[in-house]
Amino acid sequence: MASLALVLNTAEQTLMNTQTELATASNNISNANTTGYARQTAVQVENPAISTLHGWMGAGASIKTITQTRDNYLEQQLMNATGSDSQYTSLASQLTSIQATASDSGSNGISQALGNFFDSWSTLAQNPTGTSQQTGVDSAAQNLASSISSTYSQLSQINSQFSGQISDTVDQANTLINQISQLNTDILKSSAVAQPNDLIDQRYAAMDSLAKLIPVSFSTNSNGSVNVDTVQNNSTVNLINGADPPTLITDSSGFSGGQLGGLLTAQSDLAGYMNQFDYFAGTLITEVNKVTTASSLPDVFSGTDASTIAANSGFLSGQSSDTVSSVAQSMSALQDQTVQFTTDPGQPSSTLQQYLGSIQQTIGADTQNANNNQTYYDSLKSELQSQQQSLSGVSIDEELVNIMKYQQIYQAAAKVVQTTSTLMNTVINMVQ
Amino acid sequence: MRITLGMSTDETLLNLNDQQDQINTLSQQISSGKQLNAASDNPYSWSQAMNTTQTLREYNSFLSNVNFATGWGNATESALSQFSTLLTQAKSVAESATSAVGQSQSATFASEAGGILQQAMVLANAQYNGQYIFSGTATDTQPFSMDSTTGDVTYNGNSSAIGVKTSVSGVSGGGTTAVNLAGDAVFGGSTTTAGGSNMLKDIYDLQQALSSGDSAQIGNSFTTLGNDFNQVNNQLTTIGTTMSGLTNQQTALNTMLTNEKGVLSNYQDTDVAAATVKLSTAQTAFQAALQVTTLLDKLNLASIIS
Repeated sequence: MASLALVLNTAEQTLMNTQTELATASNNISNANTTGYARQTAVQVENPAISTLHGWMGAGASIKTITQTRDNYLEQQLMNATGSDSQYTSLASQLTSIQATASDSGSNGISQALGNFFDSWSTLAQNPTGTSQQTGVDSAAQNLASSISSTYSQLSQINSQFSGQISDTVDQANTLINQISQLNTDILKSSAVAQPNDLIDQRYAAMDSLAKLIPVSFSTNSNGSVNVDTVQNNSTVNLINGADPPTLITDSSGFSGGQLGGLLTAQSDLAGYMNQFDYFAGTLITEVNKVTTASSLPDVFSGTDASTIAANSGFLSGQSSDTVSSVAQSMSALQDQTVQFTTDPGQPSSTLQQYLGSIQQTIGADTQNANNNQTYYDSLKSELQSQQQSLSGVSIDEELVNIMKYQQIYQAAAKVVQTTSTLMNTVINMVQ
Repeated sequence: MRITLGMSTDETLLNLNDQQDQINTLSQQISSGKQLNAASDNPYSWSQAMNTTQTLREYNSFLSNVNFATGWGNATESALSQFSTLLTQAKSVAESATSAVGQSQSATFASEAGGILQQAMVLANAQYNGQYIFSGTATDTQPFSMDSTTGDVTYNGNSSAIGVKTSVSGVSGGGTTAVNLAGDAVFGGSTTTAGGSNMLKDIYDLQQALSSGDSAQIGNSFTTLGNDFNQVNNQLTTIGTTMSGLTNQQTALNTMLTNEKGVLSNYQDTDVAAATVKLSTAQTAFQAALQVTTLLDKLNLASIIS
């Protein structure tokens, strides 16, 4: 009798086990597309055997725990790639818009205005006393000055948006740091009962989001909590230490990874380009005014840099045809002269036009570099993601096969219950 | 390797995106005809294309200056050659007058000389495009005026050269061609200044000598006009040299323009044949990827078991 009851118990436990396993499989399928989710497995172990006259008799199986499949090493690699990817994605998108704003193909932009300026002097040389030619020079000078200052002011506008974006990013990062720290505390509490897979998934998703914003490295403690570090000014800074209160980011500078790193790089790149436009405008003003001053004419341009450049008007009025003619000739010759951009250290002397070309080349090269890096880290991230997903992701096929397996086990166990019940009936009827 | 749902969708998306990006870039290159759409496409080529565009602009400006100088030179040449003809006529009038006798005839000669003087004044004040060609840089000022009672000539222009840039200048002010001949250098300056002599005044003097019948003065005028004739012909030679230089420069500039346009096209234009072939390859690959994606979508257990 004892054995028949044991058979019934074992079969009952099997029914319960398969239900848990089915629930786990169903949960896996349900979360197949959930961010941060790692597939779960119901771990089934053999029950302790029972000592009988015939020896140790097995007593079925039970579900010990529900675990999840994660690889911390792989996840750290993936976070690094994610950080670099979002760094270059943000840098490339910033630089692309800067590049478009400062765009100069030679047939539009500042180059064209500069060319028109020289052309207007060249036309004036043909007819030094012509009123329309003099007006042409006046308006070409105005046009050149406004083309430089408007490009510069558009760049300044982009520049002014950086600080807002940077502080937004820091705010987001701090929110995530708080969230991870809170999850650490919750996980510690729940671990006393069982491994809280859902909280671990959430914490991973939050760390992954944090890795998109700033460089992140993490280590898991034996109690299940994590420590999170970042790199600022080339040194490691601890943000979260287990369940201790987190250290928030107060200084937004010195990050070289993640979206924040991308924004900081774009900001400093842009500052460099704006300086170059300043050097260009400053040298243009000096060189052009030098020509008019040599003939005792008033200055063509006022101001000292790209933001202050403005064209004076009427600098030709009342001048003798002789003076105008010689100024016009010297001015047309200026376009071929190499000038020293004294304010730009290390820049070899070049013509004004060539300097504009070198600015474009710098912007283009930086943008191209960011684009290339983005492409590289995109595919690296995708590669690591597939490795991570291969391990932790949910395979629908696998779950379906498992479900079919559980279904068969469930049916078999039910059959055992039915058979045992019949046997018991037989035994009871025997007694009658 | 375990293939999971997240993996296959992520990879499929990335690959499809990549291919679509490639197709997009290629079709943009073909439709715009330009392989450079932003500096980042090829920074070096972009900046070279920029500089080449500006070089082309400068060459075009040189060409316009050469055309201007040629037009100006033609106007100068025709004014001077007509002037030289007038001087020959004046000389022959003087020659005829010395051998002729009688009051009525000398009046005819005088009026003939008067006609020549009038035409000479017109030529000396000739214009090109509304600019006086013989007044130096003061092209809005009529260069020569004559006091009708004394015959004194005043030169109102200056001796400066109108220079236009016709080639790249190596050093400051280089590459400039002087377009004009200043009137005082050709015809002589104001006669009111000390030692002033002027061809127009010479013709006036002849006219005066003819009307007064001063045969000694007519003889003098004959000599002076002969010298004037030589002087004008010398100037014609100068102009001729400048003009042939301009023609050479024009040919050179046209060649350089063609070259630079080729260079520019190399930098920025799409090789349409190559791009089209690449595009059709990319399209085939994209179609295949799409087909595989739909195929894989059906390949799961859920769609087979029921």
